[in-house]
Amino acid sequence: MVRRKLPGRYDHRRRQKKGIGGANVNYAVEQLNLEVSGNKFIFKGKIERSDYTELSKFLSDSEKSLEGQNVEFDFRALEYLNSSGIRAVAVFFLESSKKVTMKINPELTWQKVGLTPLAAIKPSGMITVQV
Amino acid sequence: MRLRTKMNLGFGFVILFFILFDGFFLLFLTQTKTVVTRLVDRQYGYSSGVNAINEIVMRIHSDIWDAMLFDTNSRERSVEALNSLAKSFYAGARELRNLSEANRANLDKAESIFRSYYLFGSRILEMPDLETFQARTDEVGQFKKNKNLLIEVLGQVVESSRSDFEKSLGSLNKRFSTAVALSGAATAFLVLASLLVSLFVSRTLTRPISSLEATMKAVEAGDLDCEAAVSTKDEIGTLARSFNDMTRQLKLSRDQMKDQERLKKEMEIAVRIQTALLPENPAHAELDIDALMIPAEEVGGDYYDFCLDQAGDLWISIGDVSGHGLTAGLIMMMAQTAHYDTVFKSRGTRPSEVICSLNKVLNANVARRLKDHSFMTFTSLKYSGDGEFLFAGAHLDMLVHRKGTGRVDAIKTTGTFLSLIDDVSACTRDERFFLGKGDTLLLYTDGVIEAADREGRLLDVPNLCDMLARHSGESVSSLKESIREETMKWCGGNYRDDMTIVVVRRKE
Repeated sequence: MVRRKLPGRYDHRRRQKKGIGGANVNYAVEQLNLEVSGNKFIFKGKIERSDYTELSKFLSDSEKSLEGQNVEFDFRALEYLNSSGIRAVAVFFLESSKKVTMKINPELTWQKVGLTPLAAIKPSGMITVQV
Repeated sequence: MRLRTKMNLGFGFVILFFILFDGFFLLFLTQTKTVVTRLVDRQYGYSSGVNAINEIVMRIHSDIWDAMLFDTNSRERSVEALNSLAKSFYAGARELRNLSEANRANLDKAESIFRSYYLFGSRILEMPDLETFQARTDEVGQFKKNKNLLIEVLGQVVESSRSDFEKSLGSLNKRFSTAVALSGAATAFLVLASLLVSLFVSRTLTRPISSLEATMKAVEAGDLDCEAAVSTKDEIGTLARSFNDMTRQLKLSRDQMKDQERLKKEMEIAVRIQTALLPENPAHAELDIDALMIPAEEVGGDYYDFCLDQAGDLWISIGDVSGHGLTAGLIMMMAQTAHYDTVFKSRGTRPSEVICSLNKVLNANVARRLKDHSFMTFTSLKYSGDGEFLFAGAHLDMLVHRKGTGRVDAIKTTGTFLSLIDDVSACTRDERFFLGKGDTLLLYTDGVIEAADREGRLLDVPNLCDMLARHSGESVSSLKESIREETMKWCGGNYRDDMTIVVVRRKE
């Protein structure tokens, strides 16, 4: 698996060329590396200062290419997500019609208190939390 | 063109003209000297030549008279002398003719008369005796007449030569006058050129310097919009451009300082408002309560409040707006106002109703009107008496130290954040918990548990539980201070977020 860190922007060209199906697309900003693999969003590292807009746009663009009715957000390797990042994830959850599964790390307090409440923003069953 | 080049060109032009003028003047003097020397030499040659010829004529006359009157034996010598003197006369006349063509006619005439003079002189010397000499008066008279004619013609030669010399002197005089006039004109031109060059240099120097000086005074007086209007490409132009750049930078810095000062003042006002809104610790019959908030350098969104509803029930609320800065502070104030107003007017209202109402206000104002992406954690607790708390709204886990067991329970909050969606009623429900006598409830914001040590490790909930357990025997005020001190010690006094601590203990 080859990853390339981009300076605060995701690689539209690579994404469009290879497509989402089975391919890996990266979004990198600060120390965050967001990898899209199939219908999985895998968050790693941390984001403390960056703005909400770019991450939200990346998630929104990626959502259009997702196939199936389920999408998985894996936060387990994520050290920290600032409030803008949480907002971007919340907006994605609200706008997407897919069922979301959030995988969180119970060892990290901020994930329990900062991500778990997002499960309540949609009707029951649309967003589930896996610890 | 650089200033030094301009000055070199200006003064170089003047110096070049001076050298040319001086050269021409020296040439003129040299030529004049040659002419004067030639004139003087010629005149001297004429005078001495004519004198010599004159002497020859007079000597011939005296020799013949001596030979005829006093020494007849010397006639033969006199004849030889006459021939010799005649040769000298012709030689002298030839030299004079070479000196000047002007007296050629007079000299020809003198030679012609001299031939007659010589002829009668020779005839006189051939006379046999004194009586013959005295008798032949016509020939002697002719001899005398020729002598007088010769002297007269030679006088004319001298006169003509002098006249020629005076003419030449007059011409020379004119030449000097012209030279003096030209010299005067050249000097005047040099003076004028020097003045023009000086004027040009001084204007080139002083005008932009004056402009620059005026700009500097204006800038000194505080007008940073003023710019030096110097467009030359020399050193002064470079200086003016550098000065303008410096003024622009100065203006930029001043504007930035003003902005920073304004922002700082706004922040100070926001912090004052934020801290001024903090409630006093309420006196309650069943509960001991103390709280503190430590604002970070930047305005944060931490919030806590105590208020009583119309039924006299105590409400405790705590929350945190996402992000930092003025916006977060304003949203916090908005939440405080909306919550206080809702609770203050209510009677028998449940926390979930307050949360739903508050969410509507925040979502309408923050998300729709301000188009801001902030959201808020918020838990509202209502004390119903006898240790019972009703609560609703998502914030951090609440920690309860049980005096009986010494255990610390983490009570999870439910629901979701405010200002994310229009209606949170579907996910907001009332929960409850009890405080036994002597039990201590600790509410806090993420600034406490996310305080990081030097290695970046967060304080986190387990450490906070440990603190609560260790200091649970202390009064609520002392407990609050202990938690603050230990948290500060953990992060070394470096914290990026507001910290809020609310301690509630049920009286025994």
